[in-house]
Amino acid sequence: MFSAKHITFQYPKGPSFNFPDIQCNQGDRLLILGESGRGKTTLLHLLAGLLKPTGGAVTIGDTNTSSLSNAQLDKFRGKNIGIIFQTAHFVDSLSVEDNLIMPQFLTGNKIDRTKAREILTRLNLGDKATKKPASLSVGEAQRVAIARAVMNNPQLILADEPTSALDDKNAEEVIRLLDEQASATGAALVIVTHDKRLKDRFSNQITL
Amino acid sequence: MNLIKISWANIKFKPLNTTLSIILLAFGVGIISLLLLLEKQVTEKFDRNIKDIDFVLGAKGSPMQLILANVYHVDAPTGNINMEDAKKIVKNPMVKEAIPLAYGDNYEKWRIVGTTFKYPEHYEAELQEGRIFSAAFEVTLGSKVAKETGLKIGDKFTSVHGFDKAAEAGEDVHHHDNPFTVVGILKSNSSALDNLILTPIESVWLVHEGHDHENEKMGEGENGETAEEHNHDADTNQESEIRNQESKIRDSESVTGAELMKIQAGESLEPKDTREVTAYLIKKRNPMAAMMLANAVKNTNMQLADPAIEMNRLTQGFGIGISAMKAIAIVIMVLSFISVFISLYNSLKERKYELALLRTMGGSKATLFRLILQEGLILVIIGYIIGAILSRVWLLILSNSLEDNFHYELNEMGITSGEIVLLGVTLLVGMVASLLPALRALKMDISKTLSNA
Repeated sequence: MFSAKHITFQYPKGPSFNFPDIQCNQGDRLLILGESGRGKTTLLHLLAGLLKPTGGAVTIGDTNTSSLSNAQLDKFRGKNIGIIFQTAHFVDSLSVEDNLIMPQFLTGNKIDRTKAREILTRLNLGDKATKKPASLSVGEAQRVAIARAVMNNPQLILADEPTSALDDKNAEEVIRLLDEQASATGAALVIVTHDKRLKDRFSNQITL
Repeated sequence: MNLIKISWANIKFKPLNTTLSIILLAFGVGIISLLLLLEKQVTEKFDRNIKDIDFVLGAKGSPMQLILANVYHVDAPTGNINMEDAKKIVKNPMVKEAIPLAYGDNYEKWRIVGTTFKYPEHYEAELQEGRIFSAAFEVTLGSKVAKETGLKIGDKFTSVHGFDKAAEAGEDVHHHDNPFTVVGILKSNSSALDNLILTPIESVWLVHEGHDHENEKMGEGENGETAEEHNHDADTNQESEIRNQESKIRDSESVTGAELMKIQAGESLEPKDTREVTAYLIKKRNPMAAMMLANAVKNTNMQLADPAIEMNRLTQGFGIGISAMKAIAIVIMVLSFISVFISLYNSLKERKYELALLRTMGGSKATLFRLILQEGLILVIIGYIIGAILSRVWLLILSNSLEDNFHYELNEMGITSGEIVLLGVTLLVGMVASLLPALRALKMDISKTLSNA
């Protein structure tokens, strides 16, 4: 369902990377481990189509992402890939609820505010719906970011060090939520990390 | 949810960043709009009052003052001239029509002007109610006078000698006992008439010559000498009204017809007539009139002023002021566009990660481009609207002070065509100022931006 074959990437005037092949099926969990500087984030951006590989191909579903135009790729990414970053970022001027519906709005999908509110209630953040993102704690923000990543029911969820900024309690909560949401949407979950707490949780691992 | 809403949320979110841009733009637009409004209204008002008056004959002095006092009624008159002398000039065949004006008194600072029915007729004045004055001590009020003084038909009032300033300062205040009676009120027609109290010229003479003076001279009228053209085609009520009065005055004139002929023949039938008028408003019959009349007033104590020339001189005078203000306004506007640019550019720096994030969620480059461009445009539109409102407020303040000083009103608040051009220019330049930040958003390397956060 999702594969990355013979991917190489060369930064202009910078390091070059050869990545191992990756293959995931629906519902799979995969951890990509590696020391700093091994290109973990680069790989994640390649998988997300934020970077174009110098060689090789990333295929999601039936689509070879290298074959898409930039605008097509933006839309494809928005619809099929949910991305979670190390620290959660939001459109600061919009409410938490408006931030949640951004993926639907930006991809032209039908806007489902009920769903956004339901998720917030499930995360015990119902009272934050109309507040600005700045009012969220770090742990809360990361949970909302996960909720936002699954608003479009993506096929693939990519997470870049999602727990490294969190304490154990929040990390635990985020791991549980990631797992739960991946199952709920039937998406493959790929996490780039060096966090031990995640290593203990997911057995399917690749080390760069 | 739409892009405009997001742009708007961004503007509201950091109000301090954008306030300066908006204030600057509002001031720039405000000043220019005000100048445009003033230009339009002053020109219109000037033109409306000049309306076919080719010359003003009056006492020697500043020709501009003569025009201001007798056409616009905003300055003190240059003095009075002897009516007999003046008649020698206006009976010239080059003169199509001459309307006499005589000043002297005021009521609650509103000028009482002695004249003939031809004066309201010249400005195509229509009656709100009542009729045009016909006998001495009857007055017809301008609409503004009626409104401000609250005088109604049938009301009587006594006048005070002197002019606006003198009366205000309490100098030379000398009440006359002979009361004036209101017989009519004119509709407003945005000419100088709105601010005047009109009465037959005889009233002014009588007030100043003493009440026991024989009334025999009354009715000599000012309408006989000049071959006036009676082309009242339209048969409106008020025109027939005016015609009635015309014939009335003509009747009384016939009584002294013989006397008049002698005067016209240059014969002195009694000691020189000492009655005075302040000015004659003259319409010429053909272009040659200017030279002939100019010759005629030579070596007299009178002068002939051309309202068009004098007003031209005046507008040229404050034209320099207007140019300076325009230049200042343009500088302010340029500053505001730079401010819009800097504010967008800075906010872009702060929001780089946010914008990259929008890309990861399906937003295209075009989306970000539009988002930033829109923010700039919303800023300039807000600035423009505030500026347009500001200019109206300033105009109102200016109008109030003008009214206090000159009974002059600037009351047209509509959008001028110049302002529409200004809006176009504002939008265009606003777009250019937002373009560079928007292009930066377009070219942003999202992967790099996200990694460096």
